[in-house]
Amino acid sequence: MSRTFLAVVGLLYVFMLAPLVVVVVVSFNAGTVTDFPPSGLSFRWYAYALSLDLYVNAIITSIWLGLAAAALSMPLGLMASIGIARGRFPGRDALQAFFLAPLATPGIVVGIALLVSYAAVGLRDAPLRLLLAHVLITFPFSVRTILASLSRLDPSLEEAAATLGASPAKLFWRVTFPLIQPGIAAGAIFSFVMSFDNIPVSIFLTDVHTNTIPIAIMSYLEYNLDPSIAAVSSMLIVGSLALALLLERIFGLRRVMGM
Amino acid sequence: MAAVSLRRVSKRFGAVEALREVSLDIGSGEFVTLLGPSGCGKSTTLRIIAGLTMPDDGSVWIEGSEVTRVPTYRRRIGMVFQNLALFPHLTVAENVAFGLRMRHMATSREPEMVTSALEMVRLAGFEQRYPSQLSGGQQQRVALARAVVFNPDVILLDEPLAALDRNLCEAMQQEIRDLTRRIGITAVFVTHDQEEALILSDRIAVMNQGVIEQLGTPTEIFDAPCTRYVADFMGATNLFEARVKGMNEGRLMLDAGGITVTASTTLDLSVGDRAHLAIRPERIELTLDKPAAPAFALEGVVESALYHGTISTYRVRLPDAGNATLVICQINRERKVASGSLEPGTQVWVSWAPESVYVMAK
Repeated sequence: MSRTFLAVVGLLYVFMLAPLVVVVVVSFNAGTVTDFPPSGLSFRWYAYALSLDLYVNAIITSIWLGLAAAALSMPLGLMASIGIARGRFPGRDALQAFFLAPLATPGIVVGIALLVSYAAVGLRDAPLRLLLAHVLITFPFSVRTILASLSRLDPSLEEAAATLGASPAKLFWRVTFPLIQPGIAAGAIFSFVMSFDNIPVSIFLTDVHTNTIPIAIMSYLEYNLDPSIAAVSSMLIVGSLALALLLERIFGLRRVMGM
Repeated sequence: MAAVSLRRVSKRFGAVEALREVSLDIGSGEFVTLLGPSGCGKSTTLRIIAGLTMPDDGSVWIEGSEVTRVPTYRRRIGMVFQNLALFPHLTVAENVAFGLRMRHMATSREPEMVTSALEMVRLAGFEQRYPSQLSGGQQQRVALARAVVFNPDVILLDEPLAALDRNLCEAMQQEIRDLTRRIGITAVFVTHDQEEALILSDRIAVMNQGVIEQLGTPTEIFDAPCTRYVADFMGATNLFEARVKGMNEGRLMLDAGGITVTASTTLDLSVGDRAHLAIRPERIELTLDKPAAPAFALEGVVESALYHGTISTYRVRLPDAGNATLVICQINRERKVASGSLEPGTQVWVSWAPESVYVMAK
């Protein structure tokens, strides 16, 4: 590889990673303003962030919401994917496009649509509103990852199982499911991340008592600009890095993304 | 009672007629090969016996009961797939035991049955390996053990040797033949390789465009092809159109492109009928001088000569027969003409015995 190429690659990395590095450095600021470079180093903003109910409650909400959304959208996605991948019925392609449609719809449109719809049916409970919305957001990701695993699965494996006497149910649990399990797990982790990170839909559905962490950061930012935001962001960076490493370690990120 | 019967089975895929009223009876313990080029319907036939493809018409019978609408997992069949389809997430022992577990057979005797199946294919000691840790030939043998361990009524083999290199392929042919004969299982084998079919089979069904062109023993198929297609597929490259001229002492006289050929046949042909003639390349003698013994000989000119090691093949043009070319194959050890003396352009004599000519009605 030539020097120029390496230099370009290096610059790209700097371009992508520099803001993250700045955030992490700022989070260790000892002063009261988001100085860069910081005037002194301390953990005080971490302690402060974790003492605020706003952040702590939002983190808890985001975690349970992500877990619940992933747990619900996985079985739904699994059933939808198997129907699309194995079924032979008219409108199969249309159904697939429909299931993946939320991926291509602007989040803000989904958010407004849900806000209006919830109002129409009188659904006021914020946790439930968020959960339903996040199942909708994560569902296309589960369909996408599980479909990718199913299409990589050699159909003759299922045929072989049938010739060996496996009924359709046994065939699924003994052959298909174990073989697409990495895809299912990866889809679940993905769904969790997508839910955790969501702003455009969530922003319409939170209330005073139920906030997700990105929304909490935004509302805090409206009246304050201190390094506690950087501290929370740094914690999220570490968390998502850990998840990405986990993904890479178990399945290889490339395969998970369906690339 | 036949172990496997197909009765007037038809199958279409869209506009393509994959099978046209195919009927076939396979005896118990018989090894039958479905032979033909890709797209001839041989794999479809096998998949219909397995229940992996549903026929549009006709019926399928296994051991005397109709199974046409019985799902695959309720048929007592074992199958070896072209890509083997070993379960990558299971060990060798678990792969072999899969059929036993699915069929609720032998819970206490399972380890014993798995071990003896693996011994049968000389893979004892490999129980705990995963398929990816085995060589191609070993994977092949696991697939074989997995397909026979639960004692199915019939084993179906879909071009299982296509992916192997030549030496391994020959060893596996031997292995498959020995194994199926030893356990006396009925086998249906699909291949496009005529040599493989000849080596393995009790009977061969040569298929073409969704029909069985000829069903017979390897010698019948090889020595007495009944259609031009079968003759061609079995490597009888010298095929001629002819017209019956007359009969002479129970032998047929045919006019083929200007020359008169004598042949013996059991076909009921009369003067004026059209027929095809086939002469296998190795049945033709090639000499520099006019041979004395067979009265029938033609002059020819060598067009090309190819040396294959054990054999040599020659293309010889026959000016007296409208410049038709013959492919002639000679075993180099037995060759009557010294090597190097058959350069292109050499004048030669070709001759054959009347018994070497096969007459086909179509």
